[in-house]
Amino acid sequence: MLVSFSSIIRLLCAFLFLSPALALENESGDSDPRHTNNWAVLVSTSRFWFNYRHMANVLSMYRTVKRLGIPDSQIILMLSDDVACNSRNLFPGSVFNNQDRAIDLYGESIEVDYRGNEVTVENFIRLLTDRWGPDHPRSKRLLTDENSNIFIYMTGHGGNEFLKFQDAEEISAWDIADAFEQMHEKKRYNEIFFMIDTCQANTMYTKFYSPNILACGSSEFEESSYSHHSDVEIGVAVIDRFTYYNLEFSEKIERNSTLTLQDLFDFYTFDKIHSHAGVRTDLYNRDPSKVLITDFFGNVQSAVADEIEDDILYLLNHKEEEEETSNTASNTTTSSDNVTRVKNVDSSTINQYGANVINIKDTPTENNYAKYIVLASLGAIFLKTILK
Amino acid sequence: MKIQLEALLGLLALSHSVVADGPASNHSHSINEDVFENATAYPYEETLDITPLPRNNLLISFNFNIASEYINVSESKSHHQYRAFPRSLAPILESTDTRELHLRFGQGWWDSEEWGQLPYSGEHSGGVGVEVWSVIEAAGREQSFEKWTSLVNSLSGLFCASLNFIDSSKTTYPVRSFKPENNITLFDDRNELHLIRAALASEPVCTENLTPFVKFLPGRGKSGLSSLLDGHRVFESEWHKMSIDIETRCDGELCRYVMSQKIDAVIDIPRAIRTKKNPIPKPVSGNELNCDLDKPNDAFECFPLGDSNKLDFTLSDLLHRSILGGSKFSEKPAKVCAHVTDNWDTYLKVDGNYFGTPSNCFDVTGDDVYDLYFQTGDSTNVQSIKDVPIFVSRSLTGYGQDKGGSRTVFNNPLNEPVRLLYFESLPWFMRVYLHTVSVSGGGANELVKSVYYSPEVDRERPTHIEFELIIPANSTIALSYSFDKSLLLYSEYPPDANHGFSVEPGVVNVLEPVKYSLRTSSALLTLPTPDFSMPYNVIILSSTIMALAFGTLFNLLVKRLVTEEEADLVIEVSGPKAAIQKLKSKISVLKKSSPLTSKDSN
Repeated sequence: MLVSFSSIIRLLCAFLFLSPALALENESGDSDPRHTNNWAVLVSTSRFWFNYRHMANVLSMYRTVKRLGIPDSQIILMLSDDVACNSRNLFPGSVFNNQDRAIDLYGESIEVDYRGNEVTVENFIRLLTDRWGPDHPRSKRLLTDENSNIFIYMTGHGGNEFLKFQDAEEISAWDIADAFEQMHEKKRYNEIFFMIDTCQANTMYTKFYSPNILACGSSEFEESSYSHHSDVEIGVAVIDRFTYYNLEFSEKIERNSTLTLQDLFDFYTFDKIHSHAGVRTDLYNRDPSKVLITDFFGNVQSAVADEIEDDILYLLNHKEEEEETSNTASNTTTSSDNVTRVKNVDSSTINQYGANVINIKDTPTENNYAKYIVLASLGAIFLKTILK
Repeated sequence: MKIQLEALLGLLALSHSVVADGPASNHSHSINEDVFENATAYPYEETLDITPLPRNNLLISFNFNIASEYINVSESKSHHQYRAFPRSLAPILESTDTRELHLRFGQGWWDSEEWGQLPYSGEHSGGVGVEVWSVIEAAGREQSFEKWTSLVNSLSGLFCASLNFIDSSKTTYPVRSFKPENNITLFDDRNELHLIRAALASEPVCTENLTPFVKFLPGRGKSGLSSLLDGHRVFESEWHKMSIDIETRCDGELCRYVMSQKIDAVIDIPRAIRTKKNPIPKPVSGNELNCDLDKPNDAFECFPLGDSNKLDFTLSDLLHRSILGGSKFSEKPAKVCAHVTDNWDTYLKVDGNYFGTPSNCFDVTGDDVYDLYFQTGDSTNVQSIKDVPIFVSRSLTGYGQDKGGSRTVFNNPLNEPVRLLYFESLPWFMRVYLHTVSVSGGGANELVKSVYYSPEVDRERPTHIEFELIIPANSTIALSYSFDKSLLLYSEYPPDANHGFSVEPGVVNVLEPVKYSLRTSSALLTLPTPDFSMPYNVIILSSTIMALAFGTLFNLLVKRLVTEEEADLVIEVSGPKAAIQKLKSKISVLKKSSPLTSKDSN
């Protein structure tokens, strides 16, 4: 069932995206295997109101990737604190990244996947490596495959080879590097574009050792990243410089844009960012000047021919037949078994755990009253032991 | 479109009584009827009730009712068709055998002394944060808990809330409170039903929780009354609640889900109008000040009056949105009702024209943009508020990080005794002493009718208290107990441990003389919180001590203790003076041999 479902999606993708993809193929001139789906993991790691700008950073990127066509189901948004409905916020339900307050980043239909105390190092690593308990909902998982391009954006307070989460714990550059290696081993990505905006950000990608990862950061070793400007009414800085200029650049981009990642990297200058933005390309086997920005920020995809596709229709038909036979089989067994099973239950009988409700009938004096409570506790303890 | 509009106007103008009262009476009946004759009509209906409250506040109540298709539960069929009922929700309920689900989101404070009873007698108003309870069919208690965990995890993905934090240490099985009103059908009579509940008091409620709520509706917020729902306005209100109640209604073996979604918000009218003009609260300029003319009043002096009682506003002033046509999916037209007194004028505004009805209820159909216009000369004149049977307030007492107490005050303003159930679920790190429970005031006799108490187990389950109390007429009683605060493990402290830990609201269910339900406010408990920089301090201190110890030991092992004479002797042989002497002698030796070589080199 799953196989056929994903194959259908692929087939659909083939119909929908074949023509633009071919056009892009000609422009970039690269013969590398292309991706078929785009994912974005956007993480802000700082708690507390005064880190408003980190939430604004990450929501700005959320807006950008959503505008360029990545659906909410393929964006994992980790928002470490609630600033939008914070009682300090003068504009409830709104987050702004500019003092002109022209764009409300929180918008009307945001979907936050991990929020508040859920944003931890553990959950982030689990998300990347997809190791969860059986009850973890699908919408909170990174369901990527070997044809996925993943854009990972992180922002927060950091230092040399670490990034702080929630002001309580840290993730190290090695942790992320090892998680990426696991993703590579499990064929969980085609290419990763890693972007980080924090102090000494460039140290965070120095430990990566898995292929097909392109990384960029806002500032080099022993260098701080700075905020761009403050909003007097909100009372705090609203965005960081690196993210601000990323946005300034990406606001010009539409889904059919031919701008490349190299154009983006050339846009980072010390004059603008006030720190030395870094790019690491040695793990990446394509030339950034030939990679479209929309390969990561947008949802422009190509189709990959799959050998199984010939058999999809057959498989689908066959599957249904199989299911039908199994269904009829189960129906015959269960219906005979189940006909008398439906029963109406008086709701007052729910959760009646024996005699551990103590009813007090006569007028209790102070002493009696204490006695009853002792009785109640004894009863509860007795029951507890029995239940154990 | 014009024709439709005229038809509607005719309807409004001519058949008042039909519009006003007709549909309301068979309201609940029709949702159970079969409505599949009309292909576009879903088993769905929506209403909006607007009630002015004292002190220029306005209560806005949205109500959306949806039903699913009938399913024969004795047939195991993996595919079901969903028309109006949200497709994302039903499979979760099916896979976890949830027969009833109740979800509450809310923030803000309801001023029951001014505003009277909560809407729907408090039945749909949860406490602060998120609250969820459900009736699950399972073979045993353990299995029911597994299904419950699966349910809350799925809901956390659906509602963008941290419901996955609900574990056994936050879950209770209520014994007398939260009982379902109707009988429930077991799909398999070998199973039994379990009522399970949990609450997260510190959970924020924001736009991301409203998004799935609106997406459940057939109109997706694009048409019908849900087009009024804007997160920005809902979350700027004084008090807001969102609720979802799903029940399984069965007719023999044919069952279906019936869902009711509600949003209630109290909006401060003058503030909402002010923020529409200018969202930033700035001082009013001198000529806009509304001065009290009875008092000294000139260019330099002004005693400003309070907000005017004359109100003149539209619904879009408050919600910044208009109704984008009627619902295209509902079986009956969407209904908007204003519950006002005679000195309020209420009109439906369509296309620049205003229309009124005697009952102040309006049907919304077609594709036009609708707005509601309100005007009054005295906004204090509102429909009489319903008296609250009980006022309850809970507070934490005591000081220090070692122990504390809780005190809940019940105030009965009525002339007859009030019988109620008081439910509390306390986190395990509050170690309640049952022997300290005391009830004071109001002649303290015959107040406690029954007690259910289930003590906490560290990290496994909360303290669960259910008292049945009788509060005598016109009296105030206080229920208090004390508890110990326990230390948590290092990794159990949240990132902002110094902020304190939320204790979920207590639940009061009044049984007599009227059915009423309310929640106390949540409490913030400060626990003994370690200094989180301690490990670093310990490392630094222990390093210092180790360095000291190592230094002394090293000196003892390597250095030798000698007398002064011995030292002198040693110095003579190997001390600095001797070294210099040695050097000198070496140089002199060199000097003797060097003149020749140095001359050579020159």
